[in-house]
Amino acid sequence: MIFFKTFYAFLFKDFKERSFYRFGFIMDLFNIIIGLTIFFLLSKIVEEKVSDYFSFVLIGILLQSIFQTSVSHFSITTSKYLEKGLFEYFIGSSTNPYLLIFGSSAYNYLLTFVRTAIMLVIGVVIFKAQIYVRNLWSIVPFIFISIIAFASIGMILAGIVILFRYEGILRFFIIYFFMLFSGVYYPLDVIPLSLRSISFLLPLTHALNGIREILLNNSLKKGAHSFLFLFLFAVFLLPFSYIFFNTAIKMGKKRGNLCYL
Amino acid sequence: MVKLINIYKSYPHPQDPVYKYFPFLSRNKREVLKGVNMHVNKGEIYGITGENASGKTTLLKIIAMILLPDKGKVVITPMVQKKNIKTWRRIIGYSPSSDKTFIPRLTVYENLKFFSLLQGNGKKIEKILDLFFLTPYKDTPFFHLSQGYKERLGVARVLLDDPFIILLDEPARSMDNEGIENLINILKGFKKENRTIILTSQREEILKGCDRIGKILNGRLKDDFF
Repeated sequence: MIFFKTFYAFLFKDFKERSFYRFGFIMDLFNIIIGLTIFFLLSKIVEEKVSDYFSFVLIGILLQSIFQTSVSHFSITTSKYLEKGLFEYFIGSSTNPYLLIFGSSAYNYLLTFVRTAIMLVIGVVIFKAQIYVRNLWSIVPFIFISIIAFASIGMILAGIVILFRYEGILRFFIIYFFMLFSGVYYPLDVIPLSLRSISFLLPLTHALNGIREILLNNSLKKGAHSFLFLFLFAVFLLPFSYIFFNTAIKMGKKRGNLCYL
Repeated sequence: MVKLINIYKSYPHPQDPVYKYFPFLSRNKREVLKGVNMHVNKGEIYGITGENASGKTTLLKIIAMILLPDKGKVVITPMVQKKNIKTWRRIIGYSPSSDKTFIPRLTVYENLKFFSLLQGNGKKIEKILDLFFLTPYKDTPFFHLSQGYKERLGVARVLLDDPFIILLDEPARSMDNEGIENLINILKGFKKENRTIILTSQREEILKGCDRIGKILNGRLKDDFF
């Protein structure tokens, strides 16, 4: 109950806050179309060497969008709330701080889902991406477990913000590192063999592999293989992030790092 | 009842180069509270005064469990185990001095609704707005409010949780005399309901409304200062 109440509270706040800028939604739609057009045109060059690059990169962009929301949002929110003094107000309230920071992302996730759905529709209908639409239902558990794994990384970053009071550089490093080794824009084959084992250690790689297998190759079996790895990441990262975040708060309470002074 | 026993608290020194990069590793400390003892009875309004950076806010945050003391003990009744942090926070309501803890673009009502969803129940909002004479401003965005009304809203928000112990950090820095008079009347109403109120202030007008006043001097609390 408290879980839904917290999510509703932040959905209410963020919707009211952002409806101040009504044109934001329209601008966002233009950004999606422009972004996809760039990749569509790029695919005309790349497809001389790689077949159906646009469909490949479309899946990459969709998942990268979810990854970026999960990894960035918690640390940015924590940093903003620390500066405003809102974080210590929340710490003083009766709601669990982990849930509060998690809940604060409800609107952003909703927006990301809408954005990725629009991207997918435009990609398939206008740019003729070749994906097995009937398999879309089977990527739902993939997305769910991916969010748990990615959000856990985001919560660890949020804990780092509490301990160190800065996060921007580390956040960008993590995002670019994942993008470099996970195969968002290119197949893993192009990564030198000696570095390919790094890719195996990143949850984004397994999420991308699995979803591509299901949507591009119609192979649920190979997708299930990636799901298993992703599940293991989620099972390890979720409790670890919870413990890390709460330890950071405890240390912050002791050192006075949560305070707006 | 709120009882503080021999509370010590120090912060990392802000000019310490280690603190700048690794805040949690810094060993260079600045002692703010040096053995504070305090006893506030049920249904009492207690005022804490003192110079800037004397540790008034720190003391309130320690009672609210936002900060942990280096040494010492906080006892509150109804008896709550320190480990049972959820109950502790249901009993204590804390209002910070910063108005940045509100959402500027949301109206007065929307702000209270947001916080009530997180911590209380939405049914009481209208009643709280009435109590603080904020009803005419309920549809005004927070950033349009005058400083005095922002402070009223800060005190109003603490009631969403219906706490037994109310902690107010500088509740009337910019309030006019009428606002302070209203606030004192509201606090006296809480007193009748047997709630305990602890506030910090440097303004004499508000301290006059307190039953007892303590002043923090060199990290210690001098009780019954006036």
